Amino acid sequence: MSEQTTKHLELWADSFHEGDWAVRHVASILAGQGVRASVSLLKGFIPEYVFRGSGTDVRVTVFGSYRSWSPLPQAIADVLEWGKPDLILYDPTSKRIIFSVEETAAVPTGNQALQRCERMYGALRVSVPFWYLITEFGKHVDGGVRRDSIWPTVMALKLTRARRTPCVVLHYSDADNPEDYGVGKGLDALFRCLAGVVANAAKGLSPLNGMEEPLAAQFTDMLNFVKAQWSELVDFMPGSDSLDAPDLPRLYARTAMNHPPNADQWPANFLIWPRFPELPKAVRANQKGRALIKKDALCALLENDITEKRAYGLSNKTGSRPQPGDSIAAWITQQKKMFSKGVVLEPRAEYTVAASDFPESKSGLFHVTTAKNIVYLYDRWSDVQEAIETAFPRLAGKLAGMDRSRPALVYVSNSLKPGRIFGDPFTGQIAAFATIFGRFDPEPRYVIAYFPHQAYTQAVVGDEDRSNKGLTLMRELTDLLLFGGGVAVSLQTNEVL
Amino acid sequence: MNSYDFQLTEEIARWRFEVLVHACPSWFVAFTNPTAGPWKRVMGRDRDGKEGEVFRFPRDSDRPDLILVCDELRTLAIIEAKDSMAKLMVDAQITKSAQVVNDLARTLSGLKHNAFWGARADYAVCPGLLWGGERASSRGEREALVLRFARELREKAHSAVCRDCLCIEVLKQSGTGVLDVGLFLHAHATGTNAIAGPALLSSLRPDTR
Repeated sequence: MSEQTTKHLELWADSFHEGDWAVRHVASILAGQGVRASVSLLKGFIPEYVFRGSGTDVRVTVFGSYRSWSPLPQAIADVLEWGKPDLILYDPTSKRIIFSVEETAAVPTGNQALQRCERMYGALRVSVPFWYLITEFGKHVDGGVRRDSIWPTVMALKLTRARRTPCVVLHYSDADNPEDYGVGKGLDALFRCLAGVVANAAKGLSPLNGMEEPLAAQFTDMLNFVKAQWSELVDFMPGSDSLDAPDLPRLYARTAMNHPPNADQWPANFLIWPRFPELPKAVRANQKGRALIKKDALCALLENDITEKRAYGLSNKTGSRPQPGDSIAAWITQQKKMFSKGVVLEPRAEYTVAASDFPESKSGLFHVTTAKNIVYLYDRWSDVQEAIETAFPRLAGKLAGMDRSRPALVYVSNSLKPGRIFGDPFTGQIAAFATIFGRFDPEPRYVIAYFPHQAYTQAVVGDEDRSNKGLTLMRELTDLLLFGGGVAVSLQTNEVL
Repeated sequence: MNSYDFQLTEEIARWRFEVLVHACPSWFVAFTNPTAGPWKRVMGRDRDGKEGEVFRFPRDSDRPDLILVCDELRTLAIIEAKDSMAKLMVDAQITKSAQVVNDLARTLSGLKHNAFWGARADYAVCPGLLWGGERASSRGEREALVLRFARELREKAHSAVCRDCLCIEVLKQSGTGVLDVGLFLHAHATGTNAIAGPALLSSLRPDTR
């Protein structure tokens, strides 16, 4: 057949194994529809599949190991700035990404649970459909079995609606077969979508043509998963009564296909975390500030604001992961050194974190956790501002210009190790929490990130360092960063306050 | 195809060799070490050819880059890969490479009762080194590498580890970018001689079968 009648697609992958694995699954699905696949190896190692059915031939070339290739297509380079998805299907003719996939073999638990969420955000911000294949049940290092967190799924639901693009979490495995790709619907559902895209290409149709049914089924599973799991993690889920509303999966599917329903067809305030007075009565009654594990002036005020009903937290189920004393001492030394290389600040700021601040745990390690909450949802920015200026008087008068009545989210990361906050899992946490708790809601929240143990100088970089994934993400998703010693940084304006 | 150039990384060199192994009917890949995905376990095959898990590496443990099985020759190959020969020669690397071979030979020899491994617990283990490059290595360079590797292998050596080391050189042709695979066996002083070298090399040459 001539070159003109062949549609060419490229499957880019983190490794050749993943790329080839994916196309072989697609070939197996399409074989059931009468499409024959042949494979050859370009240069002795680049798999190239040709799918031949009743329409145009489709040629899919697999490129593993993104960064090994040049020139890397610009659309792919742009997505990689936000983290590397495992698979990207790319149309070299239109120079557009058709969809991207993240897949993971293990259940990330604890603060790792959100570690890939920045990739989800990175794809959706440029309206690239994203499928996240993750095991629902995984083996933990303690030998037990853990179930996936709800947050990636909630984030995917919110991004789908905000971006009118599919963002889907697919689960595989079950409690008896943890981490088994062959169990559950996820793997098959993923490759059926990919096969559908290839079949559409052969017919000259748009990539997501005919995907409403499979998407509705996938959103049904996502909503059911959230319904089954949310109370294990949080005390309150807005719209929980509507999670099994019969029409809801179809509303998501249509929205994902860029045919959104009228706003009044959605359940009211679904997955929108409200202001304090609109919380259920029992949840309001349970909101009380808690003692800190390690002292911190600002976190103490944030906890007090919960007691005073100016803010609320999400759950009482978070824990602490103490660290060795020698690591803490070494990290403080490095932080001080970085802090001292900063600009001259007015009023003066000092990095005062000391090893003696960190209380010893029963095991002889030392707690770095301040508050047990890492997310505070405030009704008004003015209350956050007051807490910040009380804890750090040097910032008084420097935080003007923001809308005082707008709701805000304060995210706290207690990490002490230099540089950690710009990598996994913290970038994923910020991407997920900012998305889930309101940055794109009809009444958007400010996002404030507080790093009590980190030196601000890490966020102040020259143009040559701007490719850092964490900074890219924080520049887009946060309004203010607060660091140890009470120094604030706005990444949008590159101002140090 | 769009015209993309590539840098010969460890991942690409290893993948090129795996492509060759897939074309050799007497061998299968029991483990490969890409960064992610469903490849983090050592997999075996039972008597009916059904695949199943044999062993899972503990988190943060050192692991090889490839484990290959040839039932016909009752041989395993445990292979360390780098994008260049020079990187395999680094002291810390060569120590780690040898340690992984010995540790894993010991572990796999204890899995006689695993339905997907069984008799493979008694197979000879051929240590292997794989690298990429744009210039063919000399025999002297390969022998120097194997000699250093053998010195490390001798420490806490497992009895199944054989005296022949499989060297795999993945060469990028200038101009075309085609990747060729060169296979060499170099014997060192210690270890079992349970593997017939020529038969092993022949079994890994799909074009001669």
